[in-house]
Parts: sequence; C-alpha cells; structure tokens
Amino acid sequence: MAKGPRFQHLLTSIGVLRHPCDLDLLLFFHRHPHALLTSDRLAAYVGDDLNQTARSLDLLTDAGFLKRSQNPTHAARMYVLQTSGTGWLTSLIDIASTPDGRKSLLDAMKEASEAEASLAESTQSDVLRRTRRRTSVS
Amino acid sequence: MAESDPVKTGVVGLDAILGGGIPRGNVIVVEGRAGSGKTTLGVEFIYRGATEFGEPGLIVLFEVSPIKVIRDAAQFGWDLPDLERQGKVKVIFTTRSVLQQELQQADSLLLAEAARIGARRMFIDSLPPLPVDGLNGHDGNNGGAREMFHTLVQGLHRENLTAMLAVESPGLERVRHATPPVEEFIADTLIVVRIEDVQRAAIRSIEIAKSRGHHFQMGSHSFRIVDGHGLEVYKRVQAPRSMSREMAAAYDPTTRVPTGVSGLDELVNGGYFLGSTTLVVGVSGVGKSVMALQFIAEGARRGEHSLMLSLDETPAQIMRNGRTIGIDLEPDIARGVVRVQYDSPQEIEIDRHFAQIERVVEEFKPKRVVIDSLSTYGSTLGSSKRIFRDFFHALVALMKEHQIAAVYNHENPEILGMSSMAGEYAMSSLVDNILLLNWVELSDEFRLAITVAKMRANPTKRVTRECEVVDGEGMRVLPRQIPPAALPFSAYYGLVSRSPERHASRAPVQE
Repeated sequence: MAKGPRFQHLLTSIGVLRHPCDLDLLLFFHRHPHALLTSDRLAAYVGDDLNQTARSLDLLTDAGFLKRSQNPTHAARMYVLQTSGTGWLTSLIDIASTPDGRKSLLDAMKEASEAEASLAESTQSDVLRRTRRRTSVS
Repeated sequence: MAESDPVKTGVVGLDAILGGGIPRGNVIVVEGRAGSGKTTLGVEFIYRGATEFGEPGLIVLFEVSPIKVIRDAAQFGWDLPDLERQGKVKVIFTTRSVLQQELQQADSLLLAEAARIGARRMFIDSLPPLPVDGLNGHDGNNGGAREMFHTLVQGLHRENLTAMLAVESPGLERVRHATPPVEEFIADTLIVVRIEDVQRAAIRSIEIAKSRGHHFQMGSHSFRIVDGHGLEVYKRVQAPRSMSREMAAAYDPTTRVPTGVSGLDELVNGGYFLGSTTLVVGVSGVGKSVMALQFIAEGARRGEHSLMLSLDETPAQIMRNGRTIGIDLEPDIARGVVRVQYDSPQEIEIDRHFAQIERVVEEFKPKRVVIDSLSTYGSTLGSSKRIFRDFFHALVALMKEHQIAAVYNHENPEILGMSSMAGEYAMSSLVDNILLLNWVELSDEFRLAITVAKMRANPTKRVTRECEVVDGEGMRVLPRQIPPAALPFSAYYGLVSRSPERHASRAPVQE
C-alpha cells in the first residue's frame, strides 16, 4: 500500500482527525494521559490558537477519545485520555514520531478534509439543483 | 493503619536511617541538582507505598512528561500503568500555577483525584529553588514562589497527605546559608541528595538534614541507583551502631578457634578466641594468604561456617592458590560451609561495601572470617585515614557482635624487619592479636619468621619462630629447635630488627 492510502486508511479508522491541532492534542494526551491544565496552557503546548485548540478539544471529547472535567469554577480541567494503548493510537504515534511520518499524516488529513469539503459542497449543489428542478416543474 | 505509624519509604536502607520511617503527614522536601536522583526517590516512594504498604499515591509532574517517567520506572521493574489500572497510582501532568490554584480550592480536582484512589502519598516533581529568606523578598517572582510553597504545604496538611516535593538545587554543592532557604523552614523533613566527585569517580550521597518528630541518623550516607531495583542506601560506616554491637567485646574467654597452621596453635595458646580480632602483618608474598586459606579450611573441616572476603584476588585465583597447598575449597563451598566473596577495590564505596559485609555476616553467620587485605582498603581509600579507621572500627564491632574469630591480613611494606606493626593506620589498639610474618636474611637465603607480637588477655612468649610454606601442604611453624644443617633461629638475635646476629658462643635453645 502506498504511503498516502495507508495514512488515509488509518485516518479513516480513527474517523475524526481533520486539523493538525487534533493530531497534536491527541499526541500530547498520549504523552500526558492525565493532565490538569488550562486551555491556554494546552494551546501553548500544541502551538495553536486558543479557538482552534478549543474546537479540537471539543472534537476529541465528542469522539470519546478524551474525557474532561466539567467544573466551570476551575480555570483548569482534568483531561483523561480514553484510548490509551489502543492499536490505532500506537500506529499513529509510530507514524508521527518521525518528521516525514508526521508530514505525511498532516498531508493525508488535509486531503481528507478537502475531500470532505468538496463532497459537502457537491452534495449541497446537488440538493440545490434538485430543489430548483422541483420548483420549475411545479 | 494507625496515624501514628511512621510512613515507610520502602527504599532499601533508607528507613533504617530514618529510624523506621517518617512521621505521617510530614512534608518532605528532597533537594538536589539535576540528575541527583530526586525523581527516582520520589517515584519509588509512591511505588513502594502502593505495592508494599497498601498506600495509593499520586505523582504530580510539571516538566517531565508522564510517559518518560513511566518508561524510566519500568527500568526498575515498577509497572506504573498496571498500578494506574488497579487504581493505586495516578500520574498527573499539570503546571505549578494550576497546582497552587487547585490547592486553594475546596473542590480541587487534583485532591478529588487523590481522594478517588484513596491516596495517602503524593510526589510533586519539581519546584524551583526557593530564595533565601530575606533575600529578594520583595521581588515578585520570588515572593510568588514562596507564597506558592506556603499554599502547597497548607493544602497538603489539610488533606493529611504525606507529600514528597522535589526541589531543584542550582549548584554542585548545597550552600549552607546563614539564613536557610524558605523550604527548609516549612518542610518537616529535608532530604538532600548529591553527586560528589571523588577521585574522578562520581559517588551519590543522601543526607537527612532535618526531620521533625523522630530520631534519624545524621550525616552523609551513600546510595546507588540499581538497575532493576531502585535506590539502595548504605548507612555511613562512621554512624554509631547499636550499643549491643559496641558492647560485644566481652567475648567467651574459653572457646578457642584453632588456626589450621601446624605449630601455630601452640604459640597462640590453642587458637584465637571467638570474637577476637587478629592482625597478620607481613610483606607481600610472605604467606599471609596461605595462613588465611588454612584458617578457612580448618573451619570447614570442623563444619564451622567460614567466610573469606577478598579485595586482592578473585575466587578463581583463591581456589587455585588453595590447590597448590593441598586445600580444595570447592566441595566446602558446594555444601555451604565456606563462602568466598570478592569485591573489586576499584572505586570502592565504603558504605555500600560495609553494608554488603554486614548482610553476608547476618545471613551466612560465619564463625570465622578472613579479610584479605586491610592494606588494600588503605590504598583504595587514599588519604582518608579517618574513613579507614572508622570502617575498621565498624568492622571489628560487627565481628565481635556476631562472635566471629576474625583475621585481617595487612601488608607491611618493609621487606626485611619491621619498624612499625600497622604502618600509618594506627589500628593496633583496636586488635586483640598481632602476628608478624617476616623475612629473615641468613647467609644467602631468606627464611620465614613468625612472631606473636600481641595477644590480648593471653600470656604470650614473644619468641620468633621459623616457619615454612611447603608445596602441597601449606604453612607450618617449625619447632624452636630444628635439626637441619642450618642453625636454628635460636642461635641468633635481632631477627626482626633487620640485622640478625649470631650469638657468639651460645648453643641453640633446647626445648
């Protein structure tokens, strides 16, 4: 299997990773499976802006990869990785551990993200076309 | 577990120095520079607590990622992920400011985690060095660090956790300030770990600088970080031992231990006393090790546990030497009567070495011990005569406590005669018996002489007798009157003074 499809396959099996920040957060939590941190500190650790970090944290939490405490009175939250030791995460870590592997993963994520966007776009225009046709017929 | 029970660290040798453990609830500060072993000590404190004392624990990390701590712990056989799965340990990564905020909140997430696993211990790795009290006190950062430390300690006290805090020490050496750093005031127990350069080697040491609420052994003790195990702390040899050991000199004055050297028992009134200390002094090659082997073999023959501790020769060499004088120790070793232990004199750590001897003596329970040789300790320890003397004192006390007849070989550098018995080490007063083995040059040959120079609590004839080492047989002391062609020693005077002269008109002594 060529590099690209292999990474695509891995990303497909993971399902949700689309943005570099998603990957970086997942890797960070692999190294720190129990972390008590503020989101701005996390953003600084992964080197992304606060909004994107917040979106990625929501994404990982919604996907069930991460569990976080829900106490609004605390500046920091406790993040607990839920997928520690799973096969796909180990493969992901292995691949992301080299600069080339990481770059290929990010490329594959970008491709997946673009394909998803174009699919969404074509679906949207398809729906639009059908709506128009229905309107003209009536 | 009662709250008055001390918290045991579980680190080999450390609890003994701590007088059994640390009072529960004490805040323990471990201070040392990078690489000194703070993290290993802290992680072991948590690991042993969880696995040996049923006390779950929390590891809080600020800088090192948990995955690295888990990897390093695995090298010692500590499976932290497994303990996490069992809910006995939790490794949490956070920042100092979050920790400080957390400890100020009644519903702290961190302490909730601690409560969830029933944590009794916490290890925090690590805090920056705190300022000397009174210095830089108005500086915002230093004031903040101090405030953080206070908050931390108060939070830990409130939760009744026994916490160990690693604190970075910036310099190579811990500086004794006139006003100590703030953590020294606040900590209940202050442990300092160091790496010291000693003659191009690096030696680790640990010191309990302070510990509230119990007795502990002061001073600098050695320790090692042992692969597959963890820390091993060795009490400094100078540390006072139990009174029973110090008082054990009153040995049985009736039981004697035969020497195994033909003719020698006659000179030493039938043998050495149990619990006595005998120094055999002589130049290299004079036969000290031969005498030692015969002493061990005699013990084995009598079924007495006999131990040979050597710094000079490996067990294989000792076996070979034994065979040349008709002694085969292998069957005695196989049946567990004899033990031969070798330790390389290179870069010897005297505290660890003494701890090993102590362990083997307590476990093997020998009746006879030979140390070959004291002079190697002397040269290994270099100019530290005080350390040598303290080590020897501790060794003598150990042997006496266990009622062991101990023989110490000591190399005297003088090839002919002796101007001093123990050389520069001034240990004669610590020993009960001194035997001098000496070359005597008569005519064109060196002949071997033995003199009993000291026998405490024994009537002794201080005569010099000839002895010989015979191939396949070993050493024997010759009768005072010998019938060979050569004149016996009794025909001379000045045998040990390097200038023996023949009595002008005196016939050999008849016995």
